[in-house]
Amino acid sequence: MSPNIKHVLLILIAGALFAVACKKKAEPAQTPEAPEPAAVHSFSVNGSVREMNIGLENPKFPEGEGRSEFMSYCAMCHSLKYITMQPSFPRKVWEAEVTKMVVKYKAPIDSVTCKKITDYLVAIKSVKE
Amino acid sequence: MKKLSFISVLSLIVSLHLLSCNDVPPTKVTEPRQTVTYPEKKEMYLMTDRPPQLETPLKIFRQDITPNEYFFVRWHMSQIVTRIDIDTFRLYVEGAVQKPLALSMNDLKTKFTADSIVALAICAGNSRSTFTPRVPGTQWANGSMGNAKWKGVRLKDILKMAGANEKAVDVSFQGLDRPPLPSMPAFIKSLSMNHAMEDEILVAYEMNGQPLPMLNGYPLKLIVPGWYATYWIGALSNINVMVDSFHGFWMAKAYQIPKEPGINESPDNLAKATVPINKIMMHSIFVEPEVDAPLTANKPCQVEGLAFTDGTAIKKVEISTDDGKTWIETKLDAEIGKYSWRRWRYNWTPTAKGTYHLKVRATDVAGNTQPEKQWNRSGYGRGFIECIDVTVN
Repeated sequence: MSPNIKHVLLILIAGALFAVACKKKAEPAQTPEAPEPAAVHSFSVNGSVREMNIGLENPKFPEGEGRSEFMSYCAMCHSLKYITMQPSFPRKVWEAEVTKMVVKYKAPIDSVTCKKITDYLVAIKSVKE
Repeated sequence: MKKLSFISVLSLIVSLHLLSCNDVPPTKVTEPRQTVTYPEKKEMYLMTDRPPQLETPLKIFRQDITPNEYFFVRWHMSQIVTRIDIDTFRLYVEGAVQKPLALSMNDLKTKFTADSIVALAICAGNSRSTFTPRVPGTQWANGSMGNAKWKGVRLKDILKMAGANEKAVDVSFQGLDRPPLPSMPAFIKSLSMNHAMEDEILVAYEMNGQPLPMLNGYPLKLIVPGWYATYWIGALSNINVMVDSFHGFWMAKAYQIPKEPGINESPDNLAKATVPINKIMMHSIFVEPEVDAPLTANKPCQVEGLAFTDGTAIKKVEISTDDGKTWIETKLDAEIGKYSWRRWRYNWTPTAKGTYHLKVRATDVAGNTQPEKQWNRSGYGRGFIECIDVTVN
């Protein structure tokens, strides 16, 4: 490839990236979401049978790297309120918690995903040590 | 040539920079306390929904007996019991027994003498959110406890009926709840055979005169007076008598405390040896006034709170209105029962305006009093002196 073409290609790529970046910036501000309906619960006694149903919460999480891993893997065993009720912790505390889930409670999460989840927890709920 | 390459590289850098700026770092999440009304319950604080954990509002502790509809809820396994047919429900007693049993509710109510006890149920992690530095876990304030009258059958009578081997070492207990994944250890706790055979250990089918709320373990709950509520298995369905020591996860790995007395260690010097948590640490709390309550100078304030132990009698409860410089003895209500909490009262008239640091400490008949400081990595067994701030206008 001649140097000239190389440079043109580079500028084209830069231009494309620039265009994408500008497009992102130009997106309109998100409209406020309608409030979540309150979770619905029930309880009944019919003869010898007692039955209850607990509606689950649906907390919102900020965008960021690792968000989808956090929302799917962590929710396998328990609701995400386990995390949202925590105060902010330093990174080493979050690392220890994620490790505990895998080592002690046998959560099936590989080490790459663990790192992503830890990074996200740090992003949304951490304090400097 | 040079100009072109410079522009191209610059464009690339600028574009990439613009893109990364658009990925604004996510904002911090802060979750305020939320009130919910769950099945058979009135307004309580939601800690978690799956599995459910609910905290009692502090004002409910102005009552000596905690009503069922406000009693705290704590499950470990997300597959909680949501349906019971009491006609087909059975309590199984198995293992080192001459006669394995499958007891129906009718059996429990007709084949045994009923017994009852007023006993405090308190979560091992009650008050965890007050530890400094903060520790992960359920972020309870003081509301994961409750005082109730429990009625049921003595565990020893059930074990005798089954002909439990007198040389048995441990007895394990499991409820109907199940782990979310097969790989996760099921929630099983154990007591030593000696402990299980004590008169006070009950299999309760009634709580404050009513069947237990489903969220508190309907139809049966194990009552272990003086020990933390992690042992008080809800929806109790399986009792297993063992000639060997039980080393299940929830006894050997979880719920560990430092071996040395005091449930105390420091972050830079964690205890090497641990044991399963057991007896309730002596502690005392304020119920009135609540934190940051506005008070009026020269107006009497009925200061009131609770003190509790593992069953050891309380000698006195003292409060300080000057951040621990001086202590005044409070008036204790009559004892409700050996394992019930005990109410203390003090009539206080603050004279000067300002913020006061109120403290309370209990002393037992053996002369033990509460420490100023205490911490452990799990936030268990709070026993260090409580301090609350109130403002006098």
